[in-house]
Amino acid sequence: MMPSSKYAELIERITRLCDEVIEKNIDPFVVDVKENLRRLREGLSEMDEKTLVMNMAALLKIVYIIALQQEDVKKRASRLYLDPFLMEVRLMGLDRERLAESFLKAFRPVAENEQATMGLMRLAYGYWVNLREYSLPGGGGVPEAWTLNTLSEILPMEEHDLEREMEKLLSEIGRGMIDYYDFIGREGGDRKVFRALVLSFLVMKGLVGIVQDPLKNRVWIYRSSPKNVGKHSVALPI
Amino acid sequence: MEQEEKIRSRVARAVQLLFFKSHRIPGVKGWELKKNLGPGYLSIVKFLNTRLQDLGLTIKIVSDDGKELSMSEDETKLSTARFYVTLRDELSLTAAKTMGWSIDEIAGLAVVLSTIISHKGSAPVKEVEEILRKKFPEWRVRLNLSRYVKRGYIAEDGSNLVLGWRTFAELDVEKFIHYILSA
Repeated sequence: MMPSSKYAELIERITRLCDEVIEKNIDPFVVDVKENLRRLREGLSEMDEKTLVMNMAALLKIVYIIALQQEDVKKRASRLYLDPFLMEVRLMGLDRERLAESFLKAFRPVAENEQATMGLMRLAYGYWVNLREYSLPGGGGVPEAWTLNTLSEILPMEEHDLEREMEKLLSEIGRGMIDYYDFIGREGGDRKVFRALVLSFLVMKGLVGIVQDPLKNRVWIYRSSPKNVGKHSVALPI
Repeated sequence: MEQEEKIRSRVARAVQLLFFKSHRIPGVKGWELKKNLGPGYLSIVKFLNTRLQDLGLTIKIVSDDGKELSMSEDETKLSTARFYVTLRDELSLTAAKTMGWSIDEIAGLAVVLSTIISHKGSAPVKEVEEILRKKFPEWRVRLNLSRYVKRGYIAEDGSNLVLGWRTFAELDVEKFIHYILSA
């Protein structure tokens, strides 16, 4: 038979362990719930009133630990304990449509309205200033619907075809600097406008950079990284 | 009547604050709503939410650490949390395309976010790029990543990528992972 003080010491140890796990956010599974419950149950009939109260307090701490363990299991089963390798295997096994559909099921975009801030106004001003030598359809106002039709006539293709063309042009550029006019005229006059247009998409996306020498009227292009996208627009004659 | 007019003007003010972007990040903090609408701002927000729900929108509250909060949450937590208006229902692929997204962009984002989440919220840039390269053309990889950073879906943290504010605002991360694993 164990004296009551021994039980009190044992209960205090269990309580201290539980407190540490709760306060320091330690893995709740370091507490062996089954074993500690067995210890608390032992000698219940021999404990004095004070030790019984301590026993009950320790039992409550263990209940809290069980709740933490349950929460932890939930997390492990969901997102926090996903194995990166298994995730990669999973991602490789899904085609683009399935990936996009999975994303959209959990996606609720924010409804937001842009306001005309100083930054946006400056950007717009920079754009129009660069186009000052050219007359704009409709006298520089908002483009009418027919302007958009004309654009679709210049570029009658689907988005993925455009991307393929962009990829092709990008691979032609290679590593060095290339003369802009040589580049757009490479496939003859029929394709010149089209190549210039596709190239402008690459420039917009920051994949191609432009260097101009206004004295010699020369323009060079080079492969660039999207990180270096400039904030100004440049109008280049074809 | 006067009281009705007062409520109407407060609801209108809440709409302005929630919809119109006045900072770099859309939405508005709880304390800003309180400052503009008064101490009873939550009842105004709740009322507006019921009206928005009819239009297929909802008010979402996200805490600083990216957790979604409910309107019955503690006042101190709500004051530092950000309130957004988001779509209430699922978007179809066609609808997403009309919003300017391409399938490749969405799929790429799904790959990036899943990879980051599987690395417990912070994945090395090189590793993410490597996985993207297996599914997308080389030139798209850097381009897409910089676009996701710019839009706030991910953020750079040294040589690692972490989830950005927009992911917490627009995506139910747990549901997303569930859909990826069960697709």
